[in-house]
Parts: sequence; C-alpha cells; structure tokens
Amino acid sequence: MAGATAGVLADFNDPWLKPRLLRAVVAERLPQPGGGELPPAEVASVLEAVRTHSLLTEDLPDRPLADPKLAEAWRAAVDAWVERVVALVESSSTYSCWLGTSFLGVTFQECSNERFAESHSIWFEKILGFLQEASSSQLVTVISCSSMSDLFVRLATFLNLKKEASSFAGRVIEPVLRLLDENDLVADEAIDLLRTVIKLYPSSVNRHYDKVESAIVAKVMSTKVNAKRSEIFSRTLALLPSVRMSEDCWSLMLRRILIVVNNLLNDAFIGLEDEKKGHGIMLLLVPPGADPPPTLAGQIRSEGNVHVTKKFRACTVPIISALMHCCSVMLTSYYPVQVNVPMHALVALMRRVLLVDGSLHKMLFPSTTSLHQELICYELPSLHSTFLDLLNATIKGMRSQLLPHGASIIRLITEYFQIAKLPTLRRKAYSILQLLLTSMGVGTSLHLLEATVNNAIADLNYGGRSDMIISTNPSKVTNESPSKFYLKKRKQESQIQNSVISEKAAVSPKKRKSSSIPIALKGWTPDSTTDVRMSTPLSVKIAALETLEILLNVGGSLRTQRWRSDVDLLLINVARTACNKGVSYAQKPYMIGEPSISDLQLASFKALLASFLSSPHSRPTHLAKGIELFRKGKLEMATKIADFCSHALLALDVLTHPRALSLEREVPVSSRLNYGAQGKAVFGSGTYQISPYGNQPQTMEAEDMYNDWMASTNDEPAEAPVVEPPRVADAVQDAPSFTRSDVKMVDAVADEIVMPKTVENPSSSIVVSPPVYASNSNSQKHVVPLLPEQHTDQVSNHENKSPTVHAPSSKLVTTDGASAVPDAVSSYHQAPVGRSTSFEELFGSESGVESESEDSIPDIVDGDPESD
Amino acid sequence: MAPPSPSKQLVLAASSVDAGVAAWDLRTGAEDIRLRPCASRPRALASVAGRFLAAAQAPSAGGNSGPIHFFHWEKPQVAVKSFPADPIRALIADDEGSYLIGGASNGSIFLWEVSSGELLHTWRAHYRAVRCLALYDYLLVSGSEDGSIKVWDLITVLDEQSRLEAQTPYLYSFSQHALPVTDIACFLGAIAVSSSEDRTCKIWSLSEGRMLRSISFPTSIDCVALDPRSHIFYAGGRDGKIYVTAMGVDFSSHDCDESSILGALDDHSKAVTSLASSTDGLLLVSGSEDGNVRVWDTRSQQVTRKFKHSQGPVTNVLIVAPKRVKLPPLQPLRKVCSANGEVNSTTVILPRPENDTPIPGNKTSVFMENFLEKLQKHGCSSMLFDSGLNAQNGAPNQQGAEWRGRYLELQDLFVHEVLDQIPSSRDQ
Repeated sequence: MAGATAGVLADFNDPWLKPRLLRAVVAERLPQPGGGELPPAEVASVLEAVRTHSLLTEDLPDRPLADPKLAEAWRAAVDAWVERVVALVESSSTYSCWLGTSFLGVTFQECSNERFAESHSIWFEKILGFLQEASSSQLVTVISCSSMSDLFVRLATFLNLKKEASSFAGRVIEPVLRLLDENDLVADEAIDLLRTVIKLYPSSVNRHYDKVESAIVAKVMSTKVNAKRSEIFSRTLALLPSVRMSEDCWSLMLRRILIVVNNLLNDAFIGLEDEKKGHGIMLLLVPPGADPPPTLAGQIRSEGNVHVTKKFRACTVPIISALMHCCSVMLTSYYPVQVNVPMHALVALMRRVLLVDGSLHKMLFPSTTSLHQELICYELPSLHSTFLDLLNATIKGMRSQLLPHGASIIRLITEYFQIAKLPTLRRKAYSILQLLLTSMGVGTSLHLLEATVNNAIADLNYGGRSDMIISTNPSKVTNESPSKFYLKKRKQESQIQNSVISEKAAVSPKKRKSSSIPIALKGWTPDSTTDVRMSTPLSVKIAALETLEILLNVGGSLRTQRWRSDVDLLLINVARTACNKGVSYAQKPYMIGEPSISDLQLASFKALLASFLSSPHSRPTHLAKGIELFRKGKLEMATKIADFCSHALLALDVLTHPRALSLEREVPVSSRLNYGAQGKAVFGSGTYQISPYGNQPQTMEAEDMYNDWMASTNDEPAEAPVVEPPRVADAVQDAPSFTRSDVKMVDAVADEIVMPKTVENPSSSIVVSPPVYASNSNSQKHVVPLLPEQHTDQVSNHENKSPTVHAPSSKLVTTDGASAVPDAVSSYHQAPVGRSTSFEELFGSESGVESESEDSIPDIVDGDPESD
Repeated sequence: MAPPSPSKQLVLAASSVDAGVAAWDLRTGAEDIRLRPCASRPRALASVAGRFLAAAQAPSAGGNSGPIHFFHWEKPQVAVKSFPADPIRALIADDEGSYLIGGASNGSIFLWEVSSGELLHTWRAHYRAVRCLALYDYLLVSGSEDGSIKVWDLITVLDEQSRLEAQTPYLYSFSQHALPVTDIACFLGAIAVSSSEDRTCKIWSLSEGRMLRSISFPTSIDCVALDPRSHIFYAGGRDGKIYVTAMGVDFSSHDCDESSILGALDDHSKAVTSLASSTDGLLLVSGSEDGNVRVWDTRSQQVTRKFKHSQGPVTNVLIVAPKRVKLPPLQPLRKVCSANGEVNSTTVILPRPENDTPIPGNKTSVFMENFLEKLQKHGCSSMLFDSGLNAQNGAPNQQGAEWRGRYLELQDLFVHEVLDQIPSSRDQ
C-alpha cells in the first residue's frame, strides 16, 4: 500500500487505482464537447469501467484511517468527470448532448451522497431543459427521461430534500405529458418517468390529476397503441389512484373501468348471452338511485369510423384487455389505505365473459349474424385469457377476504373447465385452481377435488388421446367420460356392498381407459409413427401435474378412498412414461419457448413426491418404483431433475425410516403390507401397472404390453425377492428394539400367519370373494366384522409378540420350496386384510396371482392350523 | 450469537370476574397495559391477527346481553362495543384477521367480517352452547356443551347454493365425547385435539373425518395447547396439573393410554383453565382458577415467571405479538345479517406493503447498455446521429406497421368474400 502513492499499485483492489483510472477515462476516452462520435463499443467499455470499479462513489471502505491524499485525489478526479460530463450536456452537438446526459444519469446512480446533495438541482435544471424543449433530438429526450427517473429515485433517499424534490416533480409533469404524444420510443420512456414521479411524489401530481388521467386514458383507449405499450399505460393508470391516497379514489377508478368494460361487452356479446346480464352488472356497479360515476374519458367513440369487422378486433378487445390489466394491477399492488372492491360486480363480470363460449343464446337476435359470431369466436380466447388473468389477480389480491365469494369462484372455474379446450386457456385455468387451492387450503380442495382430478386425469391420460385442439367431439368424450365414471363410482360406493356386479359395471369406463394405457405406451415406442401432435400439449400436462401436486399437498388425505388410488396410479405411470420418453425420444425436436420433456419429467416427479408424502398410509403403494425413478434421476448430474431427485430421496427417507410416532394405535395395514415394498415386485412389477378394475384377459394382455415396454428396466426389480425373506426374519428378531417400523413389522408378520384363514375363501371359490373385495374397497370399518377370526388372532398375536411370531413366519418360508413364491403369496395374503388397501393393490394382486394361486395357496392353507 | 430480538410479545390474561385484561411482557415480565373492563368466560378472548383484541363478555348476572369488546393495544378502554344477538361463549379470529367467529350460548355460530362488521352468516350449530372453536385453514371446528364436535367448511357455509347442495350442513360431526367439549386445538396435517370434561382428550383427523385416538386422563381436562412441533400437547386438568402428553403412540408399549402421558407440570393450586404455547415452543403460559398466570420453561419444566392477575379465576391466556398498524376505524359487529346480500357486495383489500414494487434507480445504465448493444449489433454508430432521428428503432416499426396494414386488408377481404359467397353459393 505504501507504494501506491509512488505509482505502483499493490493490487487491483488498491483504492488508488480508482482515481487514476477515472482520470485516465476522462482524459483519454471521453470526447471533448462537440467532438466526434465514439464507437458504441468504446462507450460501453467506459460505462462498464465506471460501474465495475465504482469509480464515482468516492467511497473508501474498510479504511479507518482514510488517506486524505487519496480522498483528495479521488475527489478531484470525480470533479473532472462531472465537469466534462456537464460540458458534454451543454454542448450544441446532439451526440455530445446524448453522451453527456447518459453519463450524467450514471453519475446520479453512482456518485457519493455529498456530491449528489450538492449538485442535484443544477443537474435537474440541465435535464429538464431537454424535456421542455420541443426541438431537442429524440434520442436526447429519451435518455433525459431515464436520467431524470434515476435522479428522482436517488433524490427520494434524501429525506431532508423532500420538499425540493416534490417541487421538481411538479415541474416535470407538464413536459412529460406532452412527450406522451410523441412517437413510441419517447412515449415509453416518458411514461416510465411519469410512473416514477407518481410513485415517489404522489402529492406533486395531485394538482395535475385530471390532466394526467385523461392523457393516460386516451392512450389506453387509443387503437393506435400496440398491446405491449398499452399494458404499460394501463399499469400507470392503475398507479394513479395512489396520487390521492383515498379509498374513494381507488374504488371509483375501479368502478369506472368496470363500467366501461361492461358497456363494451354489451355490444360485443349481443345474441350470445342473456341481454339482461349487462344490465344486472351495471346495477351492481351503480346502485339504483346513486349517481353514476363520471365516465372514464369520452374518447372511446372518437376513433371515428372503424370498419365494423375491424372494430371488434382492433378496438374493443384491446381496450378491454388493457383495462382489465389495469384492474389486475390495481388489485394486486400495494395501496396505502384499505380499499373497497365491488366484489359482486367483479365476479359477475368475470362470469359473464368466461362462460360465453360463442354459442348463440336461445333467443336469436336478428342482428346476430354468423359473421358476428365468427368474429367473436376469433377473439374469445384472448378475452378469456384476459379475464382469467383478472381472476388470478382477484384471488391474489383479496386473499382471505375472498372467502364469502369462494364458492361462486369455485363454481365459475369448475364450469369454465368444460369450455377451456385451448392449451393456453387450460393452462391458465389450472393455474387458477392452483391458486385457489393454496390460498384457501384444505376446505377448497373439498370443492375442487372432483374438477381437478377429472380434468387432470383427462389431460394426463395419454391413452385417451385427449385431443383438445383439433376437434371438439373427441375431447368432449375424453373429458366427460372420467367424470361420468366418477359420479357413477361415487354413487356405487354408497351401495357397494349390495352387489359386486354393479360395482364392476360402474367402473367399466375405467376399464376401457385402463386397457388403453398400455396401448398408448406402445405408441411411444420409437418405431411407431402415431401422432404426437394429437395428444395433449406438454404445457397442459405440466399444469395438470402441478395442480395435482398442490391438491395432494393441500388435501392429500381428504376423502382418499374416492380418488387417491386413481391419482397415485396415474402419477407413477406418467412419471415412468416421462422418464422413458426422455430416453427414447432424446432426438425429438421441440419448439423453443415450449416446455421440454424434461420439464414434464420434473413436474411428474414433483407430483409423485407429493403423492408419496401425502399418502394417508405410511408406505405408499408405488413407493419402491418411485424411489427407483428418483435414484435414476439423481444420476443426471447437474440438472434440475437431479437436484429435485436428491431432495425427493431425502424427503422420502423420513417415510421409509419413520422417526415420528404414529397418531394411531392401529397402523393402517397397508403400511405393514408395504413393508416388503421390494418384495412386492415379484408380481407387483407387472400388476401394479394394471388398473384395479381390469379383468383377467385384460390384465394378461396389459402385462405383456407392459413387459414389452419395460423390457429394459425389468431386470432390476427381479433380484429383490431373493433378498426379501431373510430380511423379514431379521427384522422380526429385532422387533424388541422398538422403532416403529420394527413393531409394525411384527404386526405385519402376525397378519401373514393369520391370513390363510381368510384367504381360504377367495381361493376356494370365486363366489365368496366379492364380499371381501367390497369390504376392502369400501372402508376400513367393515374389515373387522367380516373377518372376525383375523381380528381376534391379531389381538392374540399382539400379546404373544415376536418370539411366537418368528417361528411360524420362518415356517412359512420353509414350507414352500421356492423362495420367491412364499413371498408373493404372503403379500397376497396381506392384501385382503388391508384395512385401507387401495383398489388396485387388491385387485392387482388377485388377478396377478390367480394363475399361481392354485398351487401355492393350498400349501398355506395346510400350514394354517399349525400356526395357530 | 443472540438471535434477532423478536417483536414484543405480550402475555394476556382475562378473568371471569371483571378484572380487565392484564398484559405482561413475555421476555421481561414487566406489567404492560391493563384493558378494562373485561370479564370473559374461557375461549372468549381472541387476538385479531395481532391488530387488536376482541373479548366476548360474560353476561352479567341476570342480564342476557354479552357484548363483544374491541381493545386497541395502546388504549386501556374499550374501543368498540358490539352487541350480538346472543351472548357469545367462544370467540376466534382467522390468521389474517379477516373474520371473527363467535359461538353462542344457544348453540348458534356467528361469522362476522371484521373490516365491515357485517354478519355474514349465522347458523344453528349445536343443541347446546358452543364452548370452543378452532380453525384449520377454512375448516371450522366447534365443540359444544352437548359433547359433540362439528367440522364446518366455511366456503360451503357462506354460500347459499353450496349449502343447498350439501347433504349435511357440516362436514363431519363427532359425538365420541360424552361430556362437554372444553377446548380444541388444530395443527398441521389437519389434526385436531379436543379436550373434554369426560376426562379424555381425543385426536382427530380433519381430512379423514374420524377419530385417531382417545387418551384418558385422571381428571377433567379444561384446555389443551399444542407444542408447535406437534410431538406433544399440554392438557390442563381440573386438578391443577398440566399433563404433558405425547401426540404419537409408542408401539413398543402395549399398555393402555396412560403411556401417552409423559409427565405433569404441577404448580397451580386450582384447575388450569387455559394454556398458550409460544411460537418457538420453549415457553408455555398457563392460567388457573387460583388467579395466577404462570410461564413455564418447557425444557426444564419449571415455572420461570408467575403473574398475579386478580382474585378471580383466570379464564383466558393468550400470547400475542401486537402489531401496531394504522387501522381504519373498527366497525362494530352487526346484530343480524343484512336483509339482502347486496350490502356485502364490496370487499376490502388491506394495504400489503409486500406487494409494493420499487422503482429501479439504474434506468440510465440499463437503457444505455441495451442501446449500445443494439448499436453494435447493427454496426452503424455514426449513421444514427447524422441521419437525425432514430433510424435504428423507427425502421422496424414502420415495416411492422406496413405488414400489419396489409394483413388487416387481407383479412377484411377474406371476411367479405366469405360473407358474399356463402349466400350466393346457397342460391345456386
């Protein structure tokens, strides 16, 4: 450091570097006023040098004993910089002006507080000059706007200069409003500056409020402004109420906007809806007897004679979009006082738009031509999209206050799903479901369960080829069939014990669907050329997966018997398909900006993890396969998937090695059942892919197909059964060492031994098996009355505990010759006990084992009396 | 070393005799403000998202009106008095402080919107008085003197159409408690714990709608508080003991439920009427009929502070972190629902500073960077200023406008053709 003064720097952190560097910049690189133009690269490098090395800060950190010489040198260097920059600003050459103003703007941002406080008013005057002069070059005007904005932002940090700053702000407004009418480039920066001023110095805008409002509204309503720009304008409009900072001002603005939009819609929707709708909303906005608020500028009509066909597209829809965007911003951004939202009107308006599907209303108006309808149908997607954004903003903005309107919004979005076929709309609709679920919690999931599950199943079911783009008919079928099935299934559940046949009939649509899954899987093999385009777009699938994930997070344990098994099965299938697709379709081209297959994979993994973690049972059915997927995913180094997979494995660790104590004394049996999660793979690897409702021929077929498809991965699970039996025995011996899983295992083994009694029935005659099935599927309560012996045995086994348990269990293993068979059988035996066993576990195991049960079951039945 | 000091936390205590609401600083133990008058029965004190305090008053002897008092944190006197149609036994506010829910002594439940004071809905919930309320998301759990516990989905409750569609007005109804339910606490994972005079506490799954477990105690339990980590809960007994109870079951023991009770905090001479657990789980505050409030260190299980409230029994204790925010004037709670739903047509949005988006202060440099980059890409620096204005940005726009114009013309043409041709082809 000592050498620094002598001319040699210690290193590049040496503060002496800065004044020197700055002096060099000023002397050698900045042009003289009126001098020639620098190449842009040179300007950029000066800018970079100033910012990287903080040349203008005059900030001497970690130096308690600041070198006065250094401070002096630096100050002099910055003085020189400022002097040169100001000289450039004052120059008559346009280029110099531009360069000077730019660097002045950088100086506002970088310079020391003392310097800024000292010279800001001079700087302000200089830049204001450019804004006021109509003759100044456009580029200079533009850069002046952004410099001015920086000046105000910096000025706002000086609390003692507040008064001065407000007066500055007041002086800026008039010239800025004039600039709004200039061409786009200028208007963009001018509106930015206006926003800065409104935001930071609202009080100084107050005087000009009406002028500002009409200027902005004129812009928003103008058809000449393109969509992106009018969005900026509408955001500024949304900011405007903060000028007056009163509740009335905000509500008035919102109501006026809604009135304008409502009137525009009246014209647009003629013949497509009940004509009283518009009037009804108007009544909500302006209560009878009250004076209507002043209209939001009268400029709408002033656009003159736009052709009737153009009018809707070029005029009505963009204005509605811009105004609704303004509403969205108003609802979601910060406003310093509490405000009232005309919620009924807002919901009614959203309902009005979102439920128009382009079909003609019953009473056909003579004025409604097919042309009109066509024009509206052409624009409906963008209208819907706008209003979905508004709905989104409403939910975000209202938060808990939404509760009284929650049900109507839930109904709206549920109905909307029937209309939403286009991928973008569907995606947005899903995002609203997600928002509702997260914001209002478990109660909402109760209402949204059906809509979410049905739609997600329809979208994710590759077998259904749900086609939402190309024609409406097939999509209707795919969208509705699950819901019908759902309803039927629900009905059936109440009377499930009456007859098994009706149950099977009820789920027949499902059968169709499930049988088509493997076919679709085949369709994904590289050699087939089945249409990839036809299926649901990935973005929609991802949205559906995300929604399922949130549903599982929020209400995963809610009314599980109705939907969990379907969803769990779906998720594991989707995840596996996504992984496989990733392998086989690595070359598949995709569009930029659209999600790739790995995004789908990630989304499916996330949903899968949620399905595991939210499972009401401690060992979810497909856990083993899921872990396998996560393990594989973890190997993909440095990708999002790998990151997520390691997270997932960590999260699942708690599930596989539970640390907490259960809240219930009786553990749901499925957890015991799944203890041998790997053991299940003996037959499980084939069967768990099959729908629970598949009947025998179908399952066989499906299994084959599945095996084709899974040929590459099948070898891994195969080794599991060999490991399994000794593990059970070991674990049983460890039982006294009191971790919960061990204790559960004792129970599990106890059940195994007890089970043969109950298993006798299904294996001996098919006629008897239905009750068992029904009891399991229906609810846990029925198990006890139906299987009394098992229940009592279980109790007795509790008392006996591990020593007795251990002996028969080993016997079980030894009575059968092959090591794999008893394991399969034992899991099979557990299945009927399953107090909360899901459908497919039960059915899958039944159908899967049936072929081998004839020889294996009698063995056990023989062994049964001995075990007691 | 020291953790960031949290905002001031107050211990509040109210009694069933009129001794006001006493407040002490949880950390220093210094006595804070005393809000008067207040005489509340158990579970009738609610902090509305830390913004203000609501206390339902016990009806005076012979009288039949139990007003609800609102208190600001700074002022010792009542800010707003409301007079509900029936005396409120149990009062609760949601986490955001948007709603106040009161259970009345005739078994009705009232749901008010705090911002407007509007009574959104009132309904008959139980045959006898509602003794305690708890919220999990927007599931309301109410416990009654008749021993029943009902779970309500507020979205359904608040919507007429949903009410009509629902089979039962409630989501679940539990009747496993034999005697009055005294307290309910909800926790993550939709778990609720209820206490009752029948000497049990029961653990419920709100999502599955069933009882998970019942734990017997040697005495009636008047209050429960959950440890924020949810592995244990505290049950205040009529015998003056606070039972530390495990939430989970240890499977290695096959005894009866006694194993769940891990120990007892024993210092109160009379029944423990209310409990509150601090957010970090390290402190437990208990109020007792002996008129004292005790603060316990849950790790050492020792009393760290003892506050004397009054001669009368303490019925409510709360731990609150008062938020001093600028409030719009509090609205008194309405007695009856407005005749038509129209009044409720507006809803408020509270100021949310977190939604604020700051204005960036480096616009010039960002603008310059972009601009210079564009210039370099096009490789024409000097042209820009000589040819005057904005050749760079003007040109593409003009081109775009031109294309757009053509496109629109084409479309008009097409539309007209369609229009003209369809009838004509039909004519042929």
